[in-house]
Amino acid sequence: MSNLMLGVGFGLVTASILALATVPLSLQMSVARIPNFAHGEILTVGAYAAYVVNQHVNNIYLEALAAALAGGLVAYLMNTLLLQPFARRKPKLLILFILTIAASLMIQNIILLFFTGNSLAYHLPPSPPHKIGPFLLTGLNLFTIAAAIVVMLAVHVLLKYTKFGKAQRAVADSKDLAQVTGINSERIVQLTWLLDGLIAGFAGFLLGVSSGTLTPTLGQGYLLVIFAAAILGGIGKPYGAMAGAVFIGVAMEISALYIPASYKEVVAFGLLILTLLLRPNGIFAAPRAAGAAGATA
Amino acid sequence: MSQYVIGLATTGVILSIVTLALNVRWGWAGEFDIALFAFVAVGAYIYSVFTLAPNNLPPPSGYILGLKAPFLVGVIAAIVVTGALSAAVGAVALRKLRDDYFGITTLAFALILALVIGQYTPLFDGYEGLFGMPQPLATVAPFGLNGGNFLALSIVILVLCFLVLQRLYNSPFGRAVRSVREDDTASAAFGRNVYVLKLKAYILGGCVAGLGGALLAAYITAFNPYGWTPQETFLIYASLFIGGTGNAIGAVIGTFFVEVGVQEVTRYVPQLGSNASSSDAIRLVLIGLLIIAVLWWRPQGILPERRARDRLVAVGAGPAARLPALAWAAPLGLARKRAEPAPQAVAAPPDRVPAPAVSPAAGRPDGDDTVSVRALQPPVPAPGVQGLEVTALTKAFGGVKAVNGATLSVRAGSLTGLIGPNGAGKSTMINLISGFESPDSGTIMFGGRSIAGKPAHAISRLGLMRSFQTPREWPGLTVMENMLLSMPIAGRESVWRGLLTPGRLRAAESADRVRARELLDEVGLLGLKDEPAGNLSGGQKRLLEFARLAAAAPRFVLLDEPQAGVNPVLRERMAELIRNMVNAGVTVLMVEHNLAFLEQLCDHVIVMALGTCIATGSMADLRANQDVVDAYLGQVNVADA
Amino acid sequence: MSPMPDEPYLTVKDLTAGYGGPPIIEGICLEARPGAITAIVGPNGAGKSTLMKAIAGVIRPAAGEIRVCGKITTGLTANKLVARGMAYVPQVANVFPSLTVVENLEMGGYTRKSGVKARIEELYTLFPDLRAAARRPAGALSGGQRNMLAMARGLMSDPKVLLVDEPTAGMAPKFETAVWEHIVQIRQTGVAVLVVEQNTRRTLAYADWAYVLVLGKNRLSGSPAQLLNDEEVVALYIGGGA
Repeated sequence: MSNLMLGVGFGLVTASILALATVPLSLQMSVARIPNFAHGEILTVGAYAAYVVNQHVNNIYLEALAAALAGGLVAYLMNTLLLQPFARRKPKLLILFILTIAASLMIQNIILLFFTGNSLAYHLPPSPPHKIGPFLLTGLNLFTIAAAIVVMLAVHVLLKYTKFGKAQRAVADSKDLAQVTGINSERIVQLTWLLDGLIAGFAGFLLGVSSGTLTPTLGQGYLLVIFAAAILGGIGKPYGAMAGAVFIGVAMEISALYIPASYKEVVAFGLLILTLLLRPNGIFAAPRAAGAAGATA
Repeated sequence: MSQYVIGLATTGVILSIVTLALNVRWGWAGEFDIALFAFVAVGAYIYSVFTLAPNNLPPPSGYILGLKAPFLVGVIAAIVVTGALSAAVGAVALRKLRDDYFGITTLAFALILALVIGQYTPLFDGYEGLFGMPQPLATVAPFGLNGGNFLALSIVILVLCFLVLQRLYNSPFGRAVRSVREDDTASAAFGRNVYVLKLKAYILGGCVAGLGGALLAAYITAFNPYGWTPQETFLIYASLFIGGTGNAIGAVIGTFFVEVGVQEVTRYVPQLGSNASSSDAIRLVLIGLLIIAVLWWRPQGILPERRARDRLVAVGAGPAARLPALAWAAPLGLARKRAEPAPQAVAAPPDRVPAPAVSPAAGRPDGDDTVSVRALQPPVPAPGVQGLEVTALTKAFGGVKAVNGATLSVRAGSLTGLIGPNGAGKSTMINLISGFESPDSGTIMFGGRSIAGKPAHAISRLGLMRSFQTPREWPGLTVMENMLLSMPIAGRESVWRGLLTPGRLRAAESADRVRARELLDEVGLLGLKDEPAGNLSGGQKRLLEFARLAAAAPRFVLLDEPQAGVNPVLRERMAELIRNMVNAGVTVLMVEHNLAFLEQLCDHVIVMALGTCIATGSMADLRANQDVVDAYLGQVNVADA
Repeated sequence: MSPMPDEPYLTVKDLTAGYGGPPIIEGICLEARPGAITAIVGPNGAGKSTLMKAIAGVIRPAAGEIRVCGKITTGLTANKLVARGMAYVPQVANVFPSLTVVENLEMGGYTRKSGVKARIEELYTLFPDLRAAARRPAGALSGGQRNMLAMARGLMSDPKVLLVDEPTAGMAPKFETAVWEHIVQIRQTGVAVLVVEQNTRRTLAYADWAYVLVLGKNRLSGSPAQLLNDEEVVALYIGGGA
């Protein structure tokens, strides 16, 4: 039982990082409607930006800030310079997806170019584990969980109470109707990408801290797990994304107690496939209605 | 030739085979598959598992199968296993998913596969990898030692692969797969099971990928999972995009450009500082940029897909006659031209139309043995045989009843109109009858059989076809290909026939081509037969749709606003074509808003409003019917609270 | 015959538009005056919805001119038109389903510099049902309530011109009356209402002026009294005439 609780404890840390990585993807996919294959790279960028700061200054807040800013910049530029020009030609959705794949290739390898493929690590102050209830967590773990909670609350407030957040939800519902209402949909999309990058970059930093080593493939390794959480929870539902992240995080960690640890990702991939096939709108929504091919009513 | 160059050439040749595999999935079928790398890896591993010698050492160095099988056995095993695996993955992933989610699903499967290969040490040797596979011909003079023999072998295999795939590409099967890529709704409307076609293409691609993997393992004589990642699939995609999607030669060119050309060029980039992987990194950044550049400036690639030219092949009697010739229902609308023979026929079509054993639609009229194809008389429909009976049909979308207990019947051989104001449920009715929607309750009887809830492709194979509000052609295929695809299928699209009896297929298709030309001439599109159908104007596409429906030799046709978007000049033509169709024995149910157009054609008209049928009769009767007038013009007084 | 003395808030001259192929509407001319309900009717395929979309900036006109309160608005994208005093209420997908009623209204007031809350209050008096449903997600409303919300949303920006596309489509007769009564109230506030409708007779019962479109072109126009008695109108719908 205590092993299980330890598993849950680790699961909470994993889930926190996963939630921080999933919520921005969910938001971005609902507003911009493109699955971003380069999402993992935004995390990696954040992690490496924090590393750069970490080489000079050992201040966790500055590192976090650098990570967020770097992620935000990369995401914003990717949309403005690459995706939006193509989008104006009204291509098939798949083409935009392929572009994010190309971007992912490029970003990953630019990082490889500048930082080499060697595993890097942060210089972090020592962080002994504390016993909190049945869980065993280090100071950094606590920081991670706390940060996740704070950011999630902030996103909640943003979406529910601010004009921008409501406009985001409006554009996610219907880009055309939003335009007609006076909202500049393109601008909202751009700002959503920026926000996506800020949060994802920060998540990348926490990921780097938690996994201990940085390599250029850091983020991509988690891409499908993040997608699984996002789709399970329902695209566009940040609260769903959080729930999905917790579910997958805990499921993965607990499964590691029963099957060889190296297979725990299979759990996430299997869940992803099942969700895409059975509940592509997320576990909280109704099953997809049978579609009509051909003429409309 | 130096060993280095030979090595490059061999890599290029083997990877070209992998690109050809991707071309089948993406180029032919439009499936954005990311799992390709996993199938190559599986092929490599299976080859290794079969060809490695037994070893006394325990795993991971030893090997349990230790079959030490010859090269060919290893290759065949690789092909078979990857084919089976493709069937399993494809069966699940090809259920209706949007393109990007399909890609992600295949990636998920691939990663699971990669994990299992990497971790399951008893069989796959995990991340240690396998090594020591024998390379065939390696010790045989004269070129064995520097790899020249294997290069020659690889080239032979590439050429064989190329020829086999080209044959399939040009066969009816290949054309059917491409039609699914272009517009799968139209493919279903013309009798094709889209899911099965896509699955076949997926499996075929998998087999070729397995072949490539086996060759790679044989060439490198070592293999481990690190070498094959999703990134490798993207390099193959880059090769295909640049070389030309859908073009096999383009695929080879693209592969050499990306995997050999770009690779070599970046090798000479000076190493950046202490970064050993700098040239790899630069190469991949460059490839990413190339993908973007190609998609922006030339998405079709260096060599775009070749346009099929229509040529008639000389047809003799004999083998060709053994395949069911399709033109056993009289070409519709040929009444005027029956006197003159078609000028384009190269040789007379086979005189003998064999007693059909392979007719796909039960009860469909087939000619008797001695009558020549073109002179076949149209069948006289037995009353009620081709009629349509709809009873109490209901369909709701999210709580709104689009069709609400509608009942109607269409007499066999008639030309009946279906009218009603917007929102009456006419389009939903058409979708329900043709199988694009399934009803919540009620029955639909066609020729005495129940068709409610059957899938669209099955209903169209029963002889009930439809048009669409906006014409749905297969835009990237030529007009002639569109026509050929519309002819009844009669088992021609089988992969085996495409592979083994192309000559017979071509011969049987000759008759089709002749008939297609006649029909195109009828609608005035003969001159455009080699144009991509997507280049036609709206009115021309509508005419093409007619010709295609005629080609399908249907018994019942649902026309959905046939003259919408057609300019007034063409309308007369269209009316004539519809009349000809009915004269040839086809029952027609036509939805139209242009009541003047409808009136000149239909004696009998059904009116729908608010999801039910409220009246039937001639237009004159209906105009005098107050309910009908009210339905159109609207009611002012509220009947009840 | 001039229907009203005031200057029109909306003038459309020679408007031609389509979806890329041949034009669906050609050479359309019309005017909408303040404090009046101007109706656009006509048989199916007449291009009424296309006309609305072209005026609303959802599709780009190929030719012609649109003026709102005298200023040219042809070719502007839909979101810029809101600032110019035009509001468009589409027929389908006309509310944000995952936003609450209040949030939908707030989005309608997106371009307002101030006074969003006050305006919402005003609209609650016009549409009392919405006050009761304020916190419910718009997707949970019935069709009729959704159309009301859509119209209220359009009014949030204090438009001079309100374009409404088939507000009573698919509705039970009882709701049709309610909708029309609301439109009449909107007219009283001085807005120029341009309405496209299927239920021709009922529309003519409420409209101040009407244009009959056939196959993408102006065919008839006049006061409802004239049109209701014109046999040509009936013939246009169900044939039997010219």
